[in-house]
Amino acid sequence: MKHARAIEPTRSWRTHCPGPWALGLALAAIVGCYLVIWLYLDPPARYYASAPVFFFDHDFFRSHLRPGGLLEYGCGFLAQLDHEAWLGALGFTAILATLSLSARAILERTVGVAGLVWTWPGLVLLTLYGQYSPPVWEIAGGLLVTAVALLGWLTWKRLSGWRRLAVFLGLTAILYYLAGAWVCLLFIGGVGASEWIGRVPALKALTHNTNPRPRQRPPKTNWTPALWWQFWTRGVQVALGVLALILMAWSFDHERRALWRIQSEAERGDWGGVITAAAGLREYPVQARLQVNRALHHLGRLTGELFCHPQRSGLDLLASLADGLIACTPLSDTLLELGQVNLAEHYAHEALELRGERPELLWRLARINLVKERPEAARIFLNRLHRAPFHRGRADAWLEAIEHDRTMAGQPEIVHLRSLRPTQDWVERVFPTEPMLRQLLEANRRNRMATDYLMAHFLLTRQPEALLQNLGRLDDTAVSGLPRHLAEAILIQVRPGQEMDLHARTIDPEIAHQFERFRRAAPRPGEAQMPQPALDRDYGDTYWYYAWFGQTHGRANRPPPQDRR
Amino acid sequence: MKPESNQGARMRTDPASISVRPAAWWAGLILAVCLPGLCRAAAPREPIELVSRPPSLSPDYAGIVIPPNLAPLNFAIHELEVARHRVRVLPAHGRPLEVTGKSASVEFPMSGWRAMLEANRGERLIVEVEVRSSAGHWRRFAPVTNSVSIDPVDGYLVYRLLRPVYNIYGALGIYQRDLGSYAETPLLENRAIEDGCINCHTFLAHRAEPMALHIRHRQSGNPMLLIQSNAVTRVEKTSGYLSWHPSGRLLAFAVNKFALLFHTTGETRDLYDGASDLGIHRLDSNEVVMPPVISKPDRLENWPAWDPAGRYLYFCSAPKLRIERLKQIRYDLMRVAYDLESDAWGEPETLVSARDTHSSAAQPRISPDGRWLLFCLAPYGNFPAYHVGSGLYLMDLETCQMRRLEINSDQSDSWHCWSSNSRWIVFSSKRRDQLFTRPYFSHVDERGQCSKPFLLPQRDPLFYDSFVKTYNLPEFVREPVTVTSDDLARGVLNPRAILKPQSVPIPGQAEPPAEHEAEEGRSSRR
Repeated sequence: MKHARAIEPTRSWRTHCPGPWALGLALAAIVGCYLVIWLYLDPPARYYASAPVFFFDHDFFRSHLRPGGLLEYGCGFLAQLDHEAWLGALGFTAILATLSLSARAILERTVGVAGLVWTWPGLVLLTLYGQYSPPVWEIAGGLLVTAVALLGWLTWKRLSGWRRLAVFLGLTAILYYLAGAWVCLLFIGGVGASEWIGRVPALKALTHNTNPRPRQRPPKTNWTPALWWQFWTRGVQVALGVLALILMAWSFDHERRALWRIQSEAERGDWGGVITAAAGLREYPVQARLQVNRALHHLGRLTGELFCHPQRSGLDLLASLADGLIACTPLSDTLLELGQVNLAEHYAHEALELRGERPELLWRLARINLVKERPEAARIFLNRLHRAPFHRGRADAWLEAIEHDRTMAGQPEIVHLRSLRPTQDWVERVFPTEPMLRQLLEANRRNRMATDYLMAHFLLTRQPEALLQNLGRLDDTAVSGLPRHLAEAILIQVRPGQEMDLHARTIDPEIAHQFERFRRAAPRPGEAQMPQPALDRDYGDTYWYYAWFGQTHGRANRPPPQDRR
Repeated sequence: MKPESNQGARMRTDPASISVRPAAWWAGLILAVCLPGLCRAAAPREPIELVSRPPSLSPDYAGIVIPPNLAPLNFAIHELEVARHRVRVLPAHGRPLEVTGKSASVEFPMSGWRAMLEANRGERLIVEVEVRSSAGHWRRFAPVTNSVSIDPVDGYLVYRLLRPVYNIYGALGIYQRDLGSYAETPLLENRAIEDGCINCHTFLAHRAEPMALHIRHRQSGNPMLLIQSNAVTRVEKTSGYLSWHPSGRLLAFAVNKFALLFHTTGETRDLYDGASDLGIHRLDSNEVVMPPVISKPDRLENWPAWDPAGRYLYFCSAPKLRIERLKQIRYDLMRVAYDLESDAWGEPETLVSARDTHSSAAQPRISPDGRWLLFCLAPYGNFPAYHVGSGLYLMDLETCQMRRLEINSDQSDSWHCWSSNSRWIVFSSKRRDQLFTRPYFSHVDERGQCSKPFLLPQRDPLFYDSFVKTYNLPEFVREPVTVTSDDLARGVLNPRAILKPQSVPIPGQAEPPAEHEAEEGRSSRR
């Protein structure tokens, strides 16, 4: 009986019609896969990272009428599903499931049974999905088309003579035009393998087909070498599957996911989400730095929590092209919200050149042109968006708004941004941060973001005296209290017994006490200014630590703080 | 069952039934085709409201002069609630052209349009537009009157298509458009040469060859391509703003050192010319020379253009000023006499003085008949496409009288070109949306009067409403360029023929400004 129980699962795997357990397992795997993609792999992050440009457009379709173009077109459309997390996950899971079932069917038709090999393409695709940059939809689509073609071949290959050759050539030609050379080669390879697999024992072994009659039940008590070989190969397959899962988890690009999640949260205006996503990063690349600062500003925490995030002396608050081309998109956002509409336009166009006509960039340019009072130019970008999946409705609403009022004077966002624009022209090749912010404040002293950023700039460039001189600007933006980092910077600047005009603001006594303790613990001038773990633990999120050591490491990278009291 | 089958057999073999059946079929067919038309003709027409104004058309093809060999001017009726349209074009000769449709877009049939234009050279076309709202209410607008010119336009237009670029070049290319149809074919796209910039396509006497092209390419330096008899030669010399001498033996070029600047208000981009000189590439001896009269060390010389007789080189010249005085850099429009046989230069003469006009001249182009000089005036600087106030000016070279053209808009109008018969100009204008330059055509009569400009037609009349690229440097060509894109790309990446011109030193002449690295700081995305 022991032997019989041990062999029992083999039977269920061997049946061509899976039993309820197998079906249940498959269903669980599909649901699990869907949940992993939806909740963990984050399709919107993938959308912003690498979804190809796609338009419902005659010319766009026509440009794909070339070998391989139709696959590109179809997969380009499918990749748009990632715009919505649940839909992207559903689409990709459906492709994975179909591909896996097709692989299983192919293996069953060629070598009798499929073992677990049929799950491998899905595992590979999931691994690639977690990399965020490979064109995974196109790869999945290509594999699926190959699988369908192979199934077709296996159905028709029993034809004899010239008919068989015609089917092969026909399928190859169709595949070449539909999906391109690589899919075509894959199909030819698959056909070759299907022809030869039965004749090469090693290939047979891979698919657990040692028995020439797989449906025939092996003797219950007779542990023949063939049966041992079956168990061994199944063990290898399970081990390979587990290894693949481990590799998948290991190769998952957390950093890239965090970076693109920051971008997708910022696109949605979920500033809390930006901060949460940034917690997954040890260092902030330039695009993350820009978006986190923007999020902190929108949450009203820029001058209170700037040093809770990794900062390094010498890095400018507002990056430039020299910091990397990837900065263009978030820099454009920041500059537009600040009111430097022309500079925002500059960086939005750079991003457009770099990344193509992606919807998020077209939206930026539409907004910029509306702020610049160029409704006709804005309409061109909106008309383009009208043809992009998931953007038509919003684009139509904007087009209708322009139709009703070309000045867009009824749109609070546009009116607000217009009120922030500089009034004096300034021509430069590169705009330094401080004069640029000052120019904005000269045009509109109530520009809250420019004030916030100017203060943050003084903090990052360690200019507490300039900060103190400009403290009155907070009155113009209705900031009543004194944000923590500003208080910390003022405490560094103050001499014992010195009177200071804080514009009716007071420094929290607790912060003053902390500063006293920090001063006692921090290295004296002339001592080595090396970062110290104890100070980092207790004061690593303060301006003082940054002023002393020129860097902060962010909450995620610091030891848990002790009670500072 | 049996009798029926017998009857059937009889019917099949009965000669009378054989002759009657096709006749019945034909009658039925004719009725089916004609009956709806007869019914429509017989039925009373729906009540129609007369609107006293002409319809709003997009693109604006009302009151224009049309070349007799141009593709159909499809347009969209930009009126409220257009559920159906009925458009009739009534020519002086021939049958009216009528189109109907269920949208606002009006598309004319190619063959009917061509025949109509051909039969009506020099005549008027009356365009009647009727639209029906979704409620079934018809309106007829006041008719639009256009004219067909007797002067054909050159068959092809070659232009560069690119997005409004700043520092980084993405996808761009040079394309040729058959003006008699809507066919657009790429001459060279930058993806074929692994990115880079392609510009300054220049033709001799509106022929497809010889052709010169400038490439800015990291791997290959910044070469020029020469295309003659479909053979592509890479010239290892950086040259921009090219102009062919009518003999085909000389190419005038500019060597510039530009810097891209940004404004915080108004138009975002600007260009600073740090150093510019003109040079001559003698193709027969493969020599490059920088004649002192057109490459003065204290002046910025730019935009060379030969006159059709080859006796004058027109160009623009300004004093060298520092970048802080950007808005004071204004170019004079000059010309200098040249004798090809003796290679002798005359003294430069100023045709349009920046001091008098308080403007900066650019892009001089002389009509092929030698009568007219068309150029740009901008508030300052050397790149009118970046200046809102830039416009086209026409100088009669017989009287040297100049005037601002009435066809200018309040936006930038620049990048103009004459047709080979001197009767048409094409220019790029931002008048439509203030951001994207689009090619406009205008007829120029013998007195220098320009007709209302109209936009290059497209099959889809709404094409420009969602097209996010600009048309740059439109050039008329009489016949299609036949060199292939692959050959051009090979000429850049893996050329079969390379020319390395020898620089001819001139005593006392200072070194020219480095190489022509136009728009310093720009780079391809790679």
